[in-house]
Amino acid sequence: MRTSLFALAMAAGSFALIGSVAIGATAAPGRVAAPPPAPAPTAAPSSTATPAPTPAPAATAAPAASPAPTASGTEVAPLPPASASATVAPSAVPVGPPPPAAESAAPVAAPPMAYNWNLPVPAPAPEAPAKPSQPWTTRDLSRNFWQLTLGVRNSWITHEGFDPFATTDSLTQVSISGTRTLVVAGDVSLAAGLSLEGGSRSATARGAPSDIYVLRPGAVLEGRYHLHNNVYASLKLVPHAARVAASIDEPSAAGTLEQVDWRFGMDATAGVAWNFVRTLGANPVPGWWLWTDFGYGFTQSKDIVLKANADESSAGSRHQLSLGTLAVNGLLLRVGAAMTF
Amino acid sequence: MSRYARTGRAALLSVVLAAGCGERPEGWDQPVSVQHVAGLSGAVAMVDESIHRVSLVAIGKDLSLDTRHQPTGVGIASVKPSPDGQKLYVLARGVQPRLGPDDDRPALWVYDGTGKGDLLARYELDAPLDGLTVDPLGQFVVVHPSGSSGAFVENPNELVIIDVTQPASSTNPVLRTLRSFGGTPQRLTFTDPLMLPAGERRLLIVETDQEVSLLDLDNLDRPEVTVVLNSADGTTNVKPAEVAVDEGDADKANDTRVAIRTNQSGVFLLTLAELPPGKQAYNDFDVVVNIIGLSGVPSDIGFVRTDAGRRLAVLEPQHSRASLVDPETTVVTTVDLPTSYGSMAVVTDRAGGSGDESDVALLWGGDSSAIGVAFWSLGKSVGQPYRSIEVLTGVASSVARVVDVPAPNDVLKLLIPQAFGGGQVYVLDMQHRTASPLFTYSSSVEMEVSDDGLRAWFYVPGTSSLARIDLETLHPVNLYLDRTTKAVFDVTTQGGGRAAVALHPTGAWGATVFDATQPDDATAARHVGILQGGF
Repeated sequence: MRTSLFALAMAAGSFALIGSVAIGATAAPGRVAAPPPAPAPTAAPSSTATPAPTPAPAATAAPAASPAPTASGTEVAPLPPASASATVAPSAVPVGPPPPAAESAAPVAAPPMAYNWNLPVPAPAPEAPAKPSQPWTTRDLSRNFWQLTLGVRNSWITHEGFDPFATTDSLTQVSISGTRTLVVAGDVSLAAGLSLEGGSRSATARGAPSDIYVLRPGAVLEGRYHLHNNVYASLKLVPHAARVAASIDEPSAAGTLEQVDWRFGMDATAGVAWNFVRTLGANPVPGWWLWTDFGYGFTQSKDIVLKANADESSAGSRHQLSLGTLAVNGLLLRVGAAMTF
Repeated sequence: MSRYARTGRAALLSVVLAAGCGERPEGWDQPVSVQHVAGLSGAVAMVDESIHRVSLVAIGKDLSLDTRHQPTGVGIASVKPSPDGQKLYVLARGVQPRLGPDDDRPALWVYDGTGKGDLLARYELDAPLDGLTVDPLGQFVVVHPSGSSGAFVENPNELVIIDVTQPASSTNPVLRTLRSFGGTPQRLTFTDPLMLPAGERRLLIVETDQEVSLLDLDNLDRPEVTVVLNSADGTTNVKPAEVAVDEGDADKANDTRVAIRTNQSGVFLLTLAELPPGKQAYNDFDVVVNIIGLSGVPSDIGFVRTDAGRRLAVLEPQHSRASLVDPETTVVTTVDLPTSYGSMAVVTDRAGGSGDESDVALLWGGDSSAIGVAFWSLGKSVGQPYRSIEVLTGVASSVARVVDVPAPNDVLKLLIPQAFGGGQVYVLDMQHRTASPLFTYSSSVEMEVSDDGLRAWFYVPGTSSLARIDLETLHPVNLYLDRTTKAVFDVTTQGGGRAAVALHPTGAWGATVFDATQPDDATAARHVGILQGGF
């Protein structure tokens, strides 16, 4: 049944196409005494049959099409230029969806960009907010966007409790986050999301191999001031829980001494982000940004009491080592790239 | 420079400064290097030479560790506790050569040993000496060369005398160079206060390899009195081996005597008498020298009280006899011994002696191979010498060393055999004249007797063997250690109790701490990484 319907539809379509051609061929019945003119050798039948008006720019851009062979040797009145051009310059017709009327009115001086398949030429006034250019969203993607970031966080942890586990004060972590703009008010916007940062250090503590791993899942609250469509400054708060896993292979103990604990923390940073791709002239979706922020990370201080990872029934299971307290506090710097959409 | 550039530079500088703050102390990169440990009255000390630090570990009520780290000098030469364990002396050579004013000088460092862990004093020295002798009464420490300082030029007769009850000053320490007739100091002996003709004095007796010098510690500005033991032509090669001091009668000021045992037959007897009228001397006492001829080389000497008065007892193991020398007349009474006892100790008060009239001495083999021990009743040694020796039956091995037990069990002595291999340790009860054996399978047992005289700890360095002997009941408790042991110390805890600390020398050192009065594997506290951190 479905096949029959499809066949019927195809047949109807063919009929309509044939009918069009017939109608076109007999468009001036009272004025043609001569036999119908020979078909124009370059005219595509389908194009000839297209009744739709051709775009004006194409019509104006195709004067060379006017000496159409279809007019030669006949007394037939020349076709309207639009029809003529439509028949000779099909390649100039955009193949995409028709642009909005407003865009049709835009100046035509700018050459088409290689990757700009559906966006307008950048507005001449840079301060003007970008118009929604995506057919699938009406959001202003310079301010109101989803953002995914990938970067590196480096903390300078000067707390003495960090010393057994690292030869310097630096703790480098991979940083990822995802945020969504919640509020846009002029050049100011507010975003929130989640972040996850993790990294480790290792060293020797008086000859005993030691390491520490810090994982920070957190929430992101970010206020942005958009200096430009391509640049914004931000203030970011990241309350988080820090999972600190420390261990030391102390030879005087029966096994590796370990401690894993959770503690609360808060990062406060100021930063800036730059949509470098758009600044360079392209405006792809998703948008690509470089960002950095700098500030201070505070984390709750806790005692470091490392306990032996040994069989519970052995005396070694009671081995423990206290190394004072540790707070993974310190200045921090993040750099990375972000994707917005 | 634009404002933005200045701001940027300031921000960068801030970051750099912040990054540079709190650099990791170098100590974290230094492996532990402990060559010296010491047990004190209320702490255990470990000298960590790689980071120039002394760690004083006190024991809490719950057997926890309360560790205090204190700086110390570079190049540790010697570490000794004071006899009462209240102080720790650390002698450091300092940086050699000193190339800058910040380089550490040679110094004696003094630390509290009661559990507070304080650095009490530091006495700078002019030269990197490496010998350290501690006054049993706790007033003086003498620093002297021991021949191994490695200095290009060294004065072997130089003594640095430090009054450790006084702070460092221009007159403390005192530098003295002994007049030498060719000898170099070998041993130093501090005397108790002696009643000398000019009053009470303390002497420092210095034995060189051919002389004996007497130094008045109460008048360090006076030159020492030196007794040359060798003959004038130097052919006899007499070397002092031991000194014994006797104050004599308390009401007499001119009968203080010093006996000198040498490597030759015979004993030198010095009498510290009143200066003869008209004799000019730097010191206010005179030294009268007598030489007592014996047929054998003595192995031990000591002043004793006999039924005939004060005598110098001399053991001559090669003849299996003892000689009693009258210091007044140098008349010698010979007492035959059942075997070649080489060592003795006066045990009068603990062995049921009369105390007021005559002494009782304990005899054992020492360096000789004599089996067993004997009591020598000196109350009848001169009149009836053949009845004065009581051999204690039951001690079947040769005793190399006798360990004293503090009160209240000072009637006991621990008899340590020449070799432990399959042998026995005896607990000698001098009051009841019994010797109780304790068997051990190990051949290198070390022993720590508690200051309160109630316990003895037996352990074998390098193993995990440890046992406590209750000296009241002689009940042994074998204890479990999960790591090898370097040393065991019985110390006072911060709560006033007692704890035994077994030190484990691996890594950053560990310790197993037992309640000394009721040791139990289940309640022992096992600590690790004692020397980690604290920078």
